[in-house]
Amino acid sequence: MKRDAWVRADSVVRVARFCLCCMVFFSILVAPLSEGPLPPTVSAQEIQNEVKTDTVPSQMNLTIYGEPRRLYHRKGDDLVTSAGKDCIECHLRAFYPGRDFFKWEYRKKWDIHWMLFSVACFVMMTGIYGAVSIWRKGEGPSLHHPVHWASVGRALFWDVFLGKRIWRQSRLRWAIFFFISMAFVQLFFVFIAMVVTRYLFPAPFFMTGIGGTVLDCMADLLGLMILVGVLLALYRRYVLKEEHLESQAEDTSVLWMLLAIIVTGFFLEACRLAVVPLTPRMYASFVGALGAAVLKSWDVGWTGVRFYVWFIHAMLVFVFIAYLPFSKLFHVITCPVSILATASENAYRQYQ
Amino acid sequence: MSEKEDSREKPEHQVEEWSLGEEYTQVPSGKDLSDKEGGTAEEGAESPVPEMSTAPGFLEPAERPFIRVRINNLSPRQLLELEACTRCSECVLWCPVYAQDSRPGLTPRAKARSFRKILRAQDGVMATLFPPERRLGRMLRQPERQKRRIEEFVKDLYECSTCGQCHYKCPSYIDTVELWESIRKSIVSAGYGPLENHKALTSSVKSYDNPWLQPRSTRDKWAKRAHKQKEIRSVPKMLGKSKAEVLYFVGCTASFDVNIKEVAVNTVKMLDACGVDFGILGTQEKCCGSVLLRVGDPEYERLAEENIETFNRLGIRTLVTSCSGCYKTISQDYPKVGTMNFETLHMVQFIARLIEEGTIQFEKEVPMKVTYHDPCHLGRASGIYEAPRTILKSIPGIEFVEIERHHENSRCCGAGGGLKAGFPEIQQKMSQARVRDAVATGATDFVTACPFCYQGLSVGIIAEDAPIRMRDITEIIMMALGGSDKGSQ
Repeated sequence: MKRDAWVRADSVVRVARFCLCCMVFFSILVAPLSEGPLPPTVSAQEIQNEVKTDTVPSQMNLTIYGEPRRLYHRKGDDLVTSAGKDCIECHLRAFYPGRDFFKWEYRKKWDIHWMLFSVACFVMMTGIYGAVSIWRKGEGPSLHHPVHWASVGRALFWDVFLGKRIWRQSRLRWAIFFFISMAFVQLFFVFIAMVVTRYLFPAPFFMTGIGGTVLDCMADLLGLMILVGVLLALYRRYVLKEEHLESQAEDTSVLWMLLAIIVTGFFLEACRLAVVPLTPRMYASFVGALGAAVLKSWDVGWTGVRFYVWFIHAMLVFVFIAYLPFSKLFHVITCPVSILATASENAYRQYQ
Repeated sequence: MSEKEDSREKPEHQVEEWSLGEEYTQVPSGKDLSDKEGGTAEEGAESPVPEMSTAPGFLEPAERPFIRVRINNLSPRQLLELEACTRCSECVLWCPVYAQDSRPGLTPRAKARSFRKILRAQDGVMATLFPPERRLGRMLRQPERQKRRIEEFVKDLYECSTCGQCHYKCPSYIDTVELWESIRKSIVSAGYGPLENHKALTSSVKSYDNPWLQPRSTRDKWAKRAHKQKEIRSVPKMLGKSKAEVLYFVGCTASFDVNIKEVAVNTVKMLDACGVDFGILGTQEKCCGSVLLRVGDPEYERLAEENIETFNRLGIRTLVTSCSGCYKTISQDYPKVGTMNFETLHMVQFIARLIEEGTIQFEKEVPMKVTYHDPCHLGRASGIYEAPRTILKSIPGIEFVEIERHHENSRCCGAGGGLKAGFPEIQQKMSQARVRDAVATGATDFVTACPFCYQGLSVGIIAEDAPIRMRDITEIIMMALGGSDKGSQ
């Protein structure tokens, strides 16, 4: 009993120690950001004056990635982007109260983001290195027969993707597995598509076109699937309290972390949508739009709230990334290997 | 009360087996092996054995320095599989040992976690930077902690019958049996294992080529005695001196156990009745090494190599055995050590094949209601489920009923994996649980295809005072072939 307590405490202390280090690092870097209050909300008259007295040229063309692009043009009194979006949606104080704040923020925010992300990746890679270095100490044969590719293929589909054995054992566990694992896999691809089409090789179709709307919708849908999966897992642990199910820190930490990441993610989206003018595309982000409808009913500076929640969300993600190889979620890598290896080996057994 | 009912309540031959089972499980570790050299197998088996304490013989926490557990004999896949455990608790629900001893540490889930922690503490990144043996490690009392952690783990590791149920329930398909055996090997190499009770068995195998502390010269005594008592027509020919197509590998249990020898006698009669050209190795036969392999003794490989060389030299086409433990070792584990030039079959496979070919037909009616226990080594380990059922269903008069938990869910009787030697009380509870399953079917006879399970379950029947009779499948086959009718009365 004493030993178990020590082991539990050890795990908690390890996670807590890491979180504390990250928070200290974060505080040192972010401290300068806390200077001054947010700009006050401006009146409607000031907005009109701002638009009318704007001295920007009637249109602006630039060459981006070797291609000529028109950034905006003037349409009556309004400036309209090449995608048909009003510039005031993003650039006027009334609709984006934290404009000045964000101007400053953009100088530091992403620097900090990438620094912390690098730290998280370093910790993650260290963990993976540690695990791999232990695996490499094994000198015995992993497989006693040549790889049986047909069995491996079948196992990949039925067991790795569809969780056949879990389906037979418990429908609830299968639902948890399916919602979380399938959503994670697809969300990974959506994330890759977003990074590639919006940052690396900007493609209007995926930014402001239908492709972008589909990606927004997919991101919300998959996030919702993970949320449902996590809630079901917590229900199984804390409400059903299934027999023999242990709920130590190492079993539950990942679940709580995932829950926090998803909730803060949706909250961020809701904050954003709550402060920009309503457009039809926003309904693609249906969870965020629903949240925005709720948030709008409170007279709060959601832009400012969003800024701080963004950091909390980012920190959670970074801690999650760093903690991955030390957590139970490491099985996303090891389980498929085990399943496929066993499938290949079993193909050679003399079954009758 | 009718004669039949009476005989079902108190099966006479099972009373003898009680003392025999105890003898096997509780070989005294300090026994002078040389005393046995001149004795007979029966004398050895029937000699009184002092009752051991209920506490299994764990390693004493000696004052020796901390020794790292070397993991080079494990494969990268096995080390990776330790991380593949999702702690879903499915193995805990099905573990037959945990059902009898609810100690959280012995579950497969806990064992994977404990060994993972041991490895991280001695081979992880932090351990690489600050090795336990260096000054900082010593200041943090890492060696003491690690040694205590390993010693606790050893106790959990050996409280397992390596039945493989967890492998068949694990959603990650972790090959647990092979994993535990490999870890046991590492633990033994580092000097933390095996348990004291196992040491007597392993030293006997190394000294006498059998775990029964019996001299080699008495290995074929069962055949000579059976011939003398006119149970068999002649002593089977000794391969090595003469040639035959089939080698009947008798195994240690059937060779030395006075009650289990019926399995060997029935098998010989059956092969004779089927006109098979077969022979045995007699005194040249050695233990298959299953005992050494299961408890992690590295000497297993030497024994396996010697056996493979012997078998290959015989020029046989088929090796047949009635023991599921021997079958699993020879067919599944020997190919990892060397190449064999013959086919290995369990007796049930061999007979099922003869039935399929039409070589034998069961003509005599055997009126009994039977249920069948799938031995772990034959079922889950080797995938042989249908051959024994085919045989039983093809015998006229037999009413076959399935027991609760059969095929790949078969509840282990606890006789294997060194559990019976290390934790006899747990094994007895397990066998009793299995006997209760059998009684619930309403069967009159409980059949299995493994002498070791037979032995363990017989003890369970007596402990439960269950109205059911234990049978080896060879006995039923011989009854159907008209060779024995003692059980059908």
